[in-house]
Amino acid sequence: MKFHATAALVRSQVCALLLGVLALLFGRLDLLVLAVPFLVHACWGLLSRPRRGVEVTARPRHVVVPEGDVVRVTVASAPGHLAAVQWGQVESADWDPATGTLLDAPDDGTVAFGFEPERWGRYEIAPALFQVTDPSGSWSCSGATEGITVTVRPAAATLDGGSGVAHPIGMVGSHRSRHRGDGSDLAEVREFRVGDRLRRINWRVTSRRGPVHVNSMLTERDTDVLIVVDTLYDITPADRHATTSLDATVRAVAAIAQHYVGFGDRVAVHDLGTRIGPIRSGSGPRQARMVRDVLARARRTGRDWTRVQQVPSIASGTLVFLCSPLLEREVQDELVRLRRLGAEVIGVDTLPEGVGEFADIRTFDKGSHLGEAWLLRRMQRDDALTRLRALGIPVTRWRGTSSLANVLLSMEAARSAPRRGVAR
Amino acid sequence: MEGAVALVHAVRIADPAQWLLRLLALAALVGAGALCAVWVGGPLVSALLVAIVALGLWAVAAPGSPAALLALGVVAVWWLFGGEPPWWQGVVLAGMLAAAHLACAFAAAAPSYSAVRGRALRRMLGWALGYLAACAVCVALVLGVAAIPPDVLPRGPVWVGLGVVALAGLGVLVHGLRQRG
Repeated sequence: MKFHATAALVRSQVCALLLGVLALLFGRLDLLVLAVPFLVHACWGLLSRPRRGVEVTARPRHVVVPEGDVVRVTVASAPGHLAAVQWGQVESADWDPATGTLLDAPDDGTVAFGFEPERWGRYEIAPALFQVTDPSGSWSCSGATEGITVTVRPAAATLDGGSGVAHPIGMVGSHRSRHRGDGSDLAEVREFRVGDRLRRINWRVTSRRGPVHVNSMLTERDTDVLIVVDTLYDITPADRHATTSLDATVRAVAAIAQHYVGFGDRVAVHDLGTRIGPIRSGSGPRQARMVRDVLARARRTGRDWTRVQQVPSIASGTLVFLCSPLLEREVQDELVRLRRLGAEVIGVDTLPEGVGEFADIRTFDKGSHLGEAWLLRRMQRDDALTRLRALGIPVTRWRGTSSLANVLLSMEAARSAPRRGVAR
Repeated sequence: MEGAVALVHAVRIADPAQWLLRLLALAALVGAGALCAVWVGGPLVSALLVAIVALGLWAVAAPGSPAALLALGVVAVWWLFGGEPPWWQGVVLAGMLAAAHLACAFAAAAPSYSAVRGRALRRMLGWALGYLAACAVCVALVLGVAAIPPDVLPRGPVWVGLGVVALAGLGVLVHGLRQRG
């Protein structure tokens, strides 16, 4: 980009010329004295005229950061010059400085900003406007940099509590199953049979009892985990900065995926709406990264989707987490349908706090009945949740990584509890 | 109405350093007008002062606009009709005009709401002090040459020739410094 003369240079040249000519015509020394500062500035401007243009670049162009991190954005311009850079305001993000506009004179020509996203998601930052001015204020060039894309991955916190897997359906994993085989958990000590491994012989029991006895072990298996997400609507509380239902859903999905990937299980995601999209089943750290990357690209804005995209098929015994505000009848029905297909279903309630709660009744807007309407809606929903729990589907509210601990631990305890016999 | 709201908002979010530069320019322009009112006077004192203040406020809002040039023009024309004042009055007025000119030049480098880093302020201050020092040296040179008695250095066409030679020499010096730099 080329430099152009500024109004200051034009001003100094015009004033120097005019005052000089007037001083000559009228023979006035005082006019000549008045012309001196403008003449000096004009000479300074000519001396400091940039020999070539300047290329201004913004870095980084694309960056992926975890939630909570601050991105350092730099704009490289001409060293030793005044550089003014202006970034546009971005929703749900703050700049440092707050206006996103800065005037600096760095030695290396690099002007640095801090970009602080408030939450996960993809931020498309429009190109910045810049103006570079030489030290005399006589020459400047202006233009726009390239845009920047910042992708913020949701926080990858792991759930507290156990796995909650009562009946693993996979082949090799870390969940205890009821089947006898080559595992690490002791099922029973019994007499030796043809085919038993010699290293399983329990010499202590054998020496006491006489016949050879062996340790019979329980196998360990992995399982399939399906996380069903409800992105039909994004319920937003009155406080603009509070967590929305989509925020809670995304964080719950990230935590659940991280948790079960740690057990070696296969994790898949199915979206009942369209904001996130499906994620195919996979395992390992790569699958956890893929889940977080897909979640980071979820569309926060856009039209709400009203038609539920049902889970097409599911293997019996699959562990299913349905993350949803559970407001829609169709979503509640889907929960029951998955249970009837043989899945072990847990409902994760992601309706944000501050929506339709009785404790907030004093803050309801008196000009509308929206608060009262939400109160009634929530009461209807709570009634539906009670019926779901009566059907044996646990529903727990998402309040962070410890939200599912009780449910998972109780499911693990139920695996080893004695079965109730039918009364005769 | 929206324009007024936008103006109020722009004033509220203006950076303190930007306020400093723009108010300095305004103070220097209004001060130059006040000096003209005291030392020159005339029948249109009030009108000229109002014009300078209005142009000064325009220059505060838009330092890159022609407002500063017009304000300097009004001051220069007003001074022209004041007769031959003492040399020191010319020096004081030249200082005011230099301060207004450079403050407007620096204020035009960024919008009013841009934050200004400390090192940018320090650099601008250093450049401004250097500029004022150069102006002081050049003014002293001009006054020194003017103080030479007429019998040593005759007035009239000789002065014009001397001025042309000085300007040419200045041009050669600037060109030489650029080549070396």
